[in-house]
Amino acid sequence: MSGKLIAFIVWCALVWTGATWAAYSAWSPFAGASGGGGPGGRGGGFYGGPMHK
Amino acid sequence: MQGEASAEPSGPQLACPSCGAPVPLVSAALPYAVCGHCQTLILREGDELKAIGKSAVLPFDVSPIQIGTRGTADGQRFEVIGRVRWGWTDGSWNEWLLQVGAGTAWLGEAMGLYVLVTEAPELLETPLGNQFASGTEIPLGATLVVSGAHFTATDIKQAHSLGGEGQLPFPCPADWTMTNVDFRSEAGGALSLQRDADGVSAWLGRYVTLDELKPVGLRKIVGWQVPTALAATGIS
Amino acid sequence: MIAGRKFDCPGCGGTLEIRAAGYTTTVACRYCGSVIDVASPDATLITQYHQAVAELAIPLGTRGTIAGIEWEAIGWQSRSSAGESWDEFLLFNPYAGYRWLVRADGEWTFGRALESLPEMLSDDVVRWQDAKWEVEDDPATMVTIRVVGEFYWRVKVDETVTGRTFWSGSRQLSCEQNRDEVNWTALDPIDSDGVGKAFGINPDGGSRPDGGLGGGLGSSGPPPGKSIDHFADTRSSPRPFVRWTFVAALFAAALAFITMAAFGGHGTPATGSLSLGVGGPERTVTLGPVEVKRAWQTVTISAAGDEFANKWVDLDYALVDRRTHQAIEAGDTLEYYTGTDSDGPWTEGSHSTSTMIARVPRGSYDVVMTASAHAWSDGTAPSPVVDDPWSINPTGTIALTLSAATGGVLWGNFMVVLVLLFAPPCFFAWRKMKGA
Repeated sequence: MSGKLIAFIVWCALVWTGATWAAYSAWSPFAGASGGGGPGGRGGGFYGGPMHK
Repeated sequence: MQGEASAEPSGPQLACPSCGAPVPLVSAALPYAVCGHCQTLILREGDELKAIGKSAVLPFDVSPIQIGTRGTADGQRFEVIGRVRWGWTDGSWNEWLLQVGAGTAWLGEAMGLYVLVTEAPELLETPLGNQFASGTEIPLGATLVVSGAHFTATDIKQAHSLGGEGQLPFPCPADWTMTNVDFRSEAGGALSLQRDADGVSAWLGRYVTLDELKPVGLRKIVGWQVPTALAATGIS
Repeated sequence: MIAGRKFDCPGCGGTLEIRAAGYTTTVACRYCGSVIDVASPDATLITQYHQAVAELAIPLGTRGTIAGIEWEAIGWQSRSSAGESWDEFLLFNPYAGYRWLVRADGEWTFGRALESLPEMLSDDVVRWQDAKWEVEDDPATMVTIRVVGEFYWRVKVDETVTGRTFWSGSRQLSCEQNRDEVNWTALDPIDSDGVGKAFGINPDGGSRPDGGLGGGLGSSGPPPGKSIDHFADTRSSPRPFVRWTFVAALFAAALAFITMAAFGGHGTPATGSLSLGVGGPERTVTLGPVEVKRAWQTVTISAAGDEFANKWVDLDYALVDRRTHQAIEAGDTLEYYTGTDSDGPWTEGSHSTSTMIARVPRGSYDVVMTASAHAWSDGTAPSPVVDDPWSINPTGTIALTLSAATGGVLWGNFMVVLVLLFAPPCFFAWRKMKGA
């Protein structure tokens, strides 16, 4: 196995470790929440109605 | 080892003046022969055989070719009638003399590759040929165009004779040295320029595979089977 | 040239055998690694080494049949370039000459020296056998690290050549050049199981403990060869390194998904319901308790409505710690619209939504939910909406089902993981394609 491939596997392990830590401690880089959007839904100016035009 | 499976050469035989062993004579045009039994170098003058010296015992090798091997090249039958072995600082190679019809050709054998060449004196008239004949060295990568094909010098060697066997056009003395320049083309063509104390010669031909020569009478090599591609014609 | 088949290593005295007598010029002793000149009448030492016996994937002296021809492994060299090393096995058959078996990155290729010179179409493209071959990378310096066995040229440890690889599909042409010569080799992929079967060895793993170097050779003859009849599919395999990085990234992504899902498992949900008058006042309901049992957990809050159209529900959530009365606030919108325009009928939104609150500290929580429902009109139908949404309740009620529970997978994190894992392989693949 080549050095480059081993380096990449180490990188994969680091990413996995980071993902596992974030999952365990419920941390996300995205403003506090994910899924349905943050506080206020689409944002403060939301008045309602479809985006469709 | 070498003689154990010799194919029977065709044609007349004469007795070695030194040991009396039969010496095959296929080509009347070739003045020299080496006795396969005692390595006596024989000069033939008419029907008379003269011992003129001794050739070195050829080192053992596992070449599949031997004196007496026959085959077909470019639609013409050939028979291997002689060999010279050349050495250089980093190795050695065989040049097998082929009797083809009334003429001869050489089958070079090095590193498991085969080159079939015939003499092409017209190449010596080229500027590069002249340059080589005058003793100037040819650099690697030099090119020579022969009927539209580009030949590139890929290999330059100072070689010395390690000995010969069978019939030969020259006596093959032990102190014989030469400069050999090999060229290759994009289409598998081969070209060689050779220069020794007596002059220069040029050879033109191509790379061949053993199976395309449809060889008969290949040497049996202990521990090896002739591959099926060759066995169809295989060892006779 | 050594006259016989056997001679003693001038370095260590071990008995060595020449298998390609007449062709071989250099032997690297299988016992001590010393490099010996056998082109001259005496075996002379070129470089003396005292190495441990190398363990080889194909022990020298082993025979195997590839495409109908039996080959004996007679030489091995390990070479490297830019930190990557690979194995090259020299194969010999006196009737068929020499071939190579090369193992790099766990993939095998079967090579033969070219007799004809490829035609240079440009610096990066050559033509050989009616195919165009494109260069992959810049010229690389390759160095010979170790040699064992016999060779038809002057093999040297630490010898460097400049090499380039040209590709046509998965076939390669390797061009190696040093001061004195240029050597072209054509390499075709070959199935590694086939190599293993042909040579009776494990092609991926290591090797026999004794390195097999000549083990039993000369006494009982070569082991019975087996046969490889098929070459690997010559079109399917991309460059091995790139392929393996994709495999590694896929594996790591799957592993990350499993662990994220495991940590994101839902706890017992707290549920509730609300009946909202459309255009009516906002209403509040409290669900609980939601128990956050780890130091930090996510909390997922879901809301679903019964059948409704062209309405939206504003949802405000407050996650209130029962002990400290500290609140974490979040919000969501439940909306569903439908209509018809020049493209035909359309819909937007859904009858359910959920939002996730990340990094909620340990504790017991109540979820206070405040909701208000609103109607929307696309303007084509007679509008029941008036400027004052408090005035009337034009289109009935929406029944909301609400639930809150710990857990939930942070999909944003997973997207980041995918980007981090797959960006390098994609970059490598792009660079290879661009280089080709």
